[in-house]
Amino acid sequence: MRSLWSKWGRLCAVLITSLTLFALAGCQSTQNILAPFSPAAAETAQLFYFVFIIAVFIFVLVEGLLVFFVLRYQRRAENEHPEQYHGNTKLEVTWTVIPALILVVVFALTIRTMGQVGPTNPPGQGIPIRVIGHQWWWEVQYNDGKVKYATDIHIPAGQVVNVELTSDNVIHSFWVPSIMGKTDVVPGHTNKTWLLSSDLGTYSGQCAEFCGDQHANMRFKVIVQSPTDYAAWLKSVEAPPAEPAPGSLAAQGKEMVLNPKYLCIGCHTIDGTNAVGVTGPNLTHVASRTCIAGCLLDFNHANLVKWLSNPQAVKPGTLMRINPLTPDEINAITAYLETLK
Amino acid sequence: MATNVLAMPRTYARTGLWSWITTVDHKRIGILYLVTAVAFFIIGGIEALIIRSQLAVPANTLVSPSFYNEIFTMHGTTMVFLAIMPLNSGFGNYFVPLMIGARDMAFPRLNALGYWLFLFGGILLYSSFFLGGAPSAGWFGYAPLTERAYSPTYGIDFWILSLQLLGISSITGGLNFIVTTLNLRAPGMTINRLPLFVWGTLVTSLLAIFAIPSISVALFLLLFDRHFGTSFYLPSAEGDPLLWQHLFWFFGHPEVYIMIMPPFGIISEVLATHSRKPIFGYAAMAFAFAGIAFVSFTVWAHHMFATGISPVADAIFSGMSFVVAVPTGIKIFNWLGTIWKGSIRLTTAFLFAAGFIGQFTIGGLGGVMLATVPVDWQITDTYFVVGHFHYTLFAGAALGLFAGAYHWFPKITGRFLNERLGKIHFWLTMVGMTMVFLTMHYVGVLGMPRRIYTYAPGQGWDLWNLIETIGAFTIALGVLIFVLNILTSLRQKATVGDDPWDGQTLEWATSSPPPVYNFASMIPVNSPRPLWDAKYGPHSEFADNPKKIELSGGGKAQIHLPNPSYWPMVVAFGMSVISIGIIFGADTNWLILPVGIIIFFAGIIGWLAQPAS
Repeated sequence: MRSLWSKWGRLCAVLITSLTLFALAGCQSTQNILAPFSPAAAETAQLFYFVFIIAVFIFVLVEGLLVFFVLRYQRRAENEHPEQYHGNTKLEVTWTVIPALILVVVFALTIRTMGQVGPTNPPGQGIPIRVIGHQWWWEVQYNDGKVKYATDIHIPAGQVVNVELTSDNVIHSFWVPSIMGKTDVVPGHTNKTWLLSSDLGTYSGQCAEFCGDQHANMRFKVIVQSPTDYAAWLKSVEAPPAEPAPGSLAAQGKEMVLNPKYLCIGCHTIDGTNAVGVTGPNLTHVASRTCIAGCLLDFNHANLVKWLSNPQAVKPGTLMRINPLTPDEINAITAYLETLK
Repeated sequence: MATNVLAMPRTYARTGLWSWITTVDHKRIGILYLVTAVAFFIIGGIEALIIRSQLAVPANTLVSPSFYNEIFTMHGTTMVFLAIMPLNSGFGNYFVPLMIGARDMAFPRLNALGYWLFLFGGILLYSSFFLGGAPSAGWFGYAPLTERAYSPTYGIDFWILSLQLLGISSITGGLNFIVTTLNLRAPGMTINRLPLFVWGTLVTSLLAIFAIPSISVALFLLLFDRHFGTSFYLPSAEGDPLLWQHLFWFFGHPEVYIMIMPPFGIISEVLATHSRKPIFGYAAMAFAFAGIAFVSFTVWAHHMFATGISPVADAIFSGMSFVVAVPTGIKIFNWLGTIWKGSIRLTTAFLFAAGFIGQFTIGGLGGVMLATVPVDWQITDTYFVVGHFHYTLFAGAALGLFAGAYHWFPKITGRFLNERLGKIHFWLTMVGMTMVFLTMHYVGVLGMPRRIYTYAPGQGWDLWNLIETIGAFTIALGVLIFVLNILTSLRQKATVGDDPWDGQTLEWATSSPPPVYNFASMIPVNSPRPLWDAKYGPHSEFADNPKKIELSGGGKAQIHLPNPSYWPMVVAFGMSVISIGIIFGADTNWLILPVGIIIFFAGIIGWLAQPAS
């Protein structure tokens, strides 16, 4: 009996070690669903492991029998004739009932976990935000739409954030692997999900439903901040950005941006100016964002220059279509955008 | 009809192109299906290699995003509708009549129509590359991405109309299999003695005729949205994109079983034959086919767990999806029971069938993980799913079809495929597919979404993607060897006898290749394996000295055969022209459409005017 237990113990140890290695190998990955940073993702990862271990046992059983039979029962003589077993009722009932029972257990755990992590079952009412899927970037609205932001979703640690998901174009899917599973963003429907994490940090998210040419580059970030940092950030984006100093390069840039001939204002909004377009992201506080172009590029000077030089080359198919700009124009516009904190 | 007894064999051409165009012989139509489907399988495979080449390294720029999207859409559509389904139809056409002891399918000309619609449907789909761009919204074609506002080229229209032609082809084929199986069985071949391949094809056909109308309706509504101003899927006018998903998956999930059940049947035959045993638990296997088919109509929304349908619906569809796992498990254990204590000959056919059990199990277990709703919310639309369904459709359907190819090639051609090349093909396939599809599961867990044309480096995905790409080329090398194997084998003399594998079912009770009339006379049928009974006796199951009985020859002159006809091809051609007429009609002019209608009706009239036999 004892040796049997130690055998099982060893087997379990091997299994757990390999599972740990399996998870660790993915630690460098920013979207590993088995490296959770929220209660919901952790519960889901646990359920994943549970079903996975059952699957591994069944897999080993089937493959073991298969390989054993194939090796053991090879034909040794041309006229060899095996016994003609047509079936075995007891055996057949066994391998019907046992899997069925296992599945009942998995189903029960599924229902229980759905109650804990379901997008329509938030653990409470907290901060309401809206997330809107566009081709191919994410808009985020705070304060009932008064603050319009993009690609970065700031949330306070330890507080429930209730997310309302909408789209006015095609279907997208909202997914932050480390924090929360997917909820599709379906035009004509208002889907809901929630985010809750206590682990400060920046977590990568990505559109998970095919939505056209640049589906691959429709990414976003969830930034979990301490409640005070979050409050400070929210305050900064509620206020209008500082005006560029008169005569500065940035001021020239602002003139260009607001000049219809540069096409910017057709698609972008900058609060307090005549830029009121709604096709592209709201740029009022673009310089406080960590990334641009659906998080294809980090927000920095070099990337802004790269992006403005030829958006179609950087992100083929993007709806941002502008006339070619001279390096001077790009410098001025970039200088202005960098003041929009 | 009494006069039939006097009917003489026709004196039409038995060789040459014209004989193939006008053929109504189920075996020739089967070969046409198989050859055409292999061609499409190779095209779909090349598309897979393009996908894998693009994803081999991060931030790759080998192909443009729009071309990548066209290629993955065409890869999926091709493999589902132009490769696996017609390969199943090909084997079904060739072997269902033989296995039930029939002389042909019930409706030979309808059978020909099915083939021509498949061929023209495939050509129509591929012509989109040259007529304004291929479809690029995925094989699942979710609205509203497929609406004109987001997919303005004709690609989607070609996709819609070619899928309609292929749908009609599958429905006619399905009806033909059902009527043939129910009405043309040899004396003694009762329903509960059908070989499992026939049973699988029968169940598949029932699935097809009930599932395909759902996608046909969905496609027509989409066509109306695109060209005639309706808004079935457009929320801006009270339409609903989720309507598409319900209609599509009500077809789409049974479709999975439409693809996998005939290969289930094939490997059942192969495992039993090459281990000299009967099917273990025949009745349970047959019920499992029927059970899977029935339940497959009640699980469609497990493709939609993340769409925001109610948690109650999620729970019900999750539960039903677990239910499917039970009959699937029964099949796997019964296959193991079939080879248990058998006398296994390690032929390439057997290896592929055994590989099917081993690899398909991974697909099934992955399916259980995906049916677990919270886990699905994380791993749906990631590479985990891509890995999962390739374990069902490549490890499942394709391995089963390869098993069938090695098993039945001698019957179809009178020649063996080279076993040494076959085994190289097998091992390359096993190694390659593990590199591609097992790795995909892992990279999906690491958060890589599917259908992305590129990815940034440094997310832990780079190495795995490279391994996948190498694996894909490994599989391709295997397929290349398989094709070379076929070509070299065909150059040899046809020397295979009637029954090279010590077969159990009726197709081995006639010559290889079979005569045009299949059987001159029939052996008695008292079990699912009449030939085995004839050779070894139904009750002498422990016989040491098997005795074969002579099958008597028959009076060929009195065998009644249907007339060859090119009218099915004309009808199919007319329907293709009608399709093109619809695609271009609303925008340019409606002139092509009446031409198509005229050809179509000319074909129908010619068909009706020609005596069937």
